[in-house]
Amino acid sequence: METKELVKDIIEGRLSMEELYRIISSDKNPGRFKLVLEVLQEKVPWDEKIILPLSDSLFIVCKDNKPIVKCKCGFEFGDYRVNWKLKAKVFVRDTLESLQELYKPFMHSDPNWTEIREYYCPGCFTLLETEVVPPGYPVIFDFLPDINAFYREWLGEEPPCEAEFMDKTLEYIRERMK
Amino acid sequence: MMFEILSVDTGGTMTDTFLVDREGNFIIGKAQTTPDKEYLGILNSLKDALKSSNIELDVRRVLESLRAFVYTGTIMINRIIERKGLHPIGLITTAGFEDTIRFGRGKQSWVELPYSERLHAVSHYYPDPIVERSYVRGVRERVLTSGFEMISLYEEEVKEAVVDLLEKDVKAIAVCLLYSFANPEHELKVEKIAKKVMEEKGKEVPIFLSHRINPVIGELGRMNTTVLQIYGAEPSREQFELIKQHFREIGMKAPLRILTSYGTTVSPSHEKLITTVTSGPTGGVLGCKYLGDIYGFDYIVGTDVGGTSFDVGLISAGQYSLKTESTINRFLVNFPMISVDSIGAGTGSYIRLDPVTKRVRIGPDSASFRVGVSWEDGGVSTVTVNDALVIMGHLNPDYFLGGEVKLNRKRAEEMFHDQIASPLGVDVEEAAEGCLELINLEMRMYLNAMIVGTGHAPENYHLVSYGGGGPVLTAGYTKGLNFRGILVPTWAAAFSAFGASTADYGFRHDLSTELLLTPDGGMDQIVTEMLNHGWQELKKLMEEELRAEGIDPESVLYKPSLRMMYFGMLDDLEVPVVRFPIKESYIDDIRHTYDDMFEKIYARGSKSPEAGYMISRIILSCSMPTPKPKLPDLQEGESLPDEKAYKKGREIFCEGEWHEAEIYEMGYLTPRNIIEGPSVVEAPSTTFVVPPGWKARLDRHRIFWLEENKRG
Ligand SMILES: [Zn+2]
Repeated sequence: METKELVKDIIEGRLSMEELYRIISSDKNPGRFKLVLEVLQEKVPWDEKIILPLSDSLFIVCKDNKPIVKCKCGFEFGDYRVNWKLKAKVFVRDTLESLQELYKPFMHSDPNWTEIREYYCPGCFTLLETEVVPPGYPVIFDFLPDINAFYREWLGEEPPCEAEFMDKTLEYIRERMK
Repeated sequence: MMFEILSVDTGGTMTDTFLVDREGNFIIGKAQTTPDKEYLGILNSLKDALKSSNIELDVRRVLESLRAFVYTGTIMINRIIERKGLHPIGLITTAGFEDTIRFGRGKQSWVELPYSERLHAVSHYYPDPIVERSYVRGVRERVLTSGFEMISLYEEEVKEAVVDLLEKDVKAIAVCLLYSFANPEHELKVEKIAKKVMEEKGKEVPIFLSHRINPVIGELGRMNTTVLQIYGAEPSREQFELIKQHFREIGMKAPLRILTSYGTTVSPSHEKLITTVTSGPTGGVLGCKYLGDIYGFDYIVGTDVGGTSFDVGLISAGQYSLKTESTINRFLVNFPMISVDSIGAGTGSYIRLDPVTKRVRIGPDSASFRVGVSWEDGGVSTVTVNDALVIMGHLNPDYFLGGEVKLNRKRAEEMFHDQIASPLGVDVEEAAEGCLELINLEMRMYLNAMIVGTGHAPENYHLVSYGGGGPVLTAGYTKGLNFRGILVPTWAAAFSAFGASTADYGFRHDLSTELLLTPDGGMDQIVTEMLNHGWQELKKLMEEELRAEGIDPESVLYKPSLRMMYFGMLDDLEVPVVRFPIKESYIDDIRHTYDDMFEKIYARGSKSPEAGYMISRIILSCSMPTPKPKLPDLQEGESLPDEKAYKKGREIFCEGEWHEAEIYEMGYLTPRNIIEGPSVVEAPSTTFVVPPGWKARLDRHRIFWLEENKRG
């Protein structure tokens, strides 16, 4: 059976590919999600309970009985149903100069066709996400999980805190635009 | 008994021996493999063979009388898998191709994974390269496919590369330049320069040239083969010499020969020793071919059921098929290997329920030699196919490996109940039979797919069942496939070692080429010249090697052959040639031989001679007189087994119910005895199950013929 130590090794990337392969190819461990949460909770400096990890740095946590997105540094992005990118710092690479900071000439895309958008945490300036899209393309909402369904139907338990499953991004934008 | 041939198969866990005398009487033995001192495991296995047959013979006496000592095993492949080879190796290649070895081929990321994992990209990963990038040096030069030198070798760059690699303390240097098989001049020049640099530096390491190790088209395969020769084969040479020495000291006079993956045996000093790396499954196919020659069968399917895998090899039109490209521990290589395909299903395969869907899953991993939960000391906690067989009474818990390993049926039942039967809501024996049927079905479908895939039907084939776990499942995995005949040798457990002992002492060289035989015959003359030249060159190389091994090249039989295909097709076939040099008129014979073979192996309708033929390889094989085992040839007697062959009866579970079965001791059965199912024939090394509705007849060569009674 998987130990917490092993899960820690997986998360920290300390396993060789052979060791990792053995885990990947064996049966899913029904208890692994719990262990992952435990390990992640120990890694972050704050106390709000992690419900679901979104990425290496972002987590959905319970705050005042509401699910919000929180960075490992503690910065809070608010309601998880609003795309967290709206509150991130954005750096757009849509010129030859900015693209060539990363790529050699002719090794990058044409800035008239695609741009690179980098989203940084306002709290710790960690690069949280990158999207490569045509100019003008709406900001991508990477992942909007149905937490209620995930907890009730998959884990078979009550979610630590609840919010009706819906995308509130547009609503949030509309309010700001008034 | 005067034993003539000793054949050993050292597996990862057990070492099997097969000892045969002049009349074809044989004994088999088993012992644990001793990885640090292989000779000990071999010796123990040999002693076990003598002991379990109650032969009071001194080991020295046995060894002294031997005329042949054949080795197959995992020494070399384990060295590669465990990454304990010669290290570091420097590699000099054509500039611009320094990353070829690291790129490998996409398929290297999944090729040796079980089918279920090949589908999952997340499971794919590349093997760590054997030569790190910083040990690869490119030198500018270019030879075209035709062998034409387009850019001469930049000799200064070679010097720099060698100096640099020597400073990095490489233990050996591999040289693999583009198209060196078509024109080796540049590789030879690199060797010359390197030797000079080494002399100047006073530091010498061996150099290996790819066109010598494997002059075959395909840079990556040639490069990997050369590197693996240095990494895996060169250090193993010493190990083989040690085995030889130890056995010399205790009386062995016969030369040690090692089975190659293409079906011959070579001495430990053979230059291309890497060709012996995966000889294990080859032995079984050679054994089938040998039986085929005796019985006069041209179409045979060999099935080897081990603890871990189910290996299948086909012989069609009297020939086993050689594949020219395969992998060693995921590295793509292109020296010839007898084609054996396998799936991860054996008697030690784990049986599990998918925790989510409750679907029964067999393998792909296994308890291998640790049997299953029925062997408490094995430390296995997941039930296996063996456990199902014990529960159903097919395996005798008190007679596993002749009683040396006591199995606990009650434990098997309890754990099978907890892990499989109870979650599925069925009885233990019902669950056991269901699992057995599942593995049989998997094997059956695999067999059928392989045979149908070649354009044939099982009805054209005789099936041979071997491996320690073969005979217990034979009826199950052949049921309904209507093979022409099903053969179960009484020495099934050591059949691969037996097969190895039937291999010729000799080796082969392949040379890639692209010779087009146009439909109008206009190229016949030039192709004739090129073929004769190719064979002549290969013969020169061979003679040199034979002399180095202390063999008189005049005493050797040379067999030329070639690989060809219809122009535009992808798969070539190997066409034997009677002798060389050939005359231009013989090209017609070659065409006809190929047409005939194509028709027998594939189908008449897909022949397409109208576009001409392409010759892809020129091949020369050599062989020396080799002592080979004889099959026992006994007088046929009664159809009723002798009194003493009967053992205490027991119940076996088949088709949903318990049957009172006859139990026989295999050693007491005699030719023409007929065993009616439900019966179990037991021997220390294997168990043969004849289910209700089936019968088996033992023939003069001590091979059972198993068949299902006609219904109705
Ligand atoms: Zn942050």
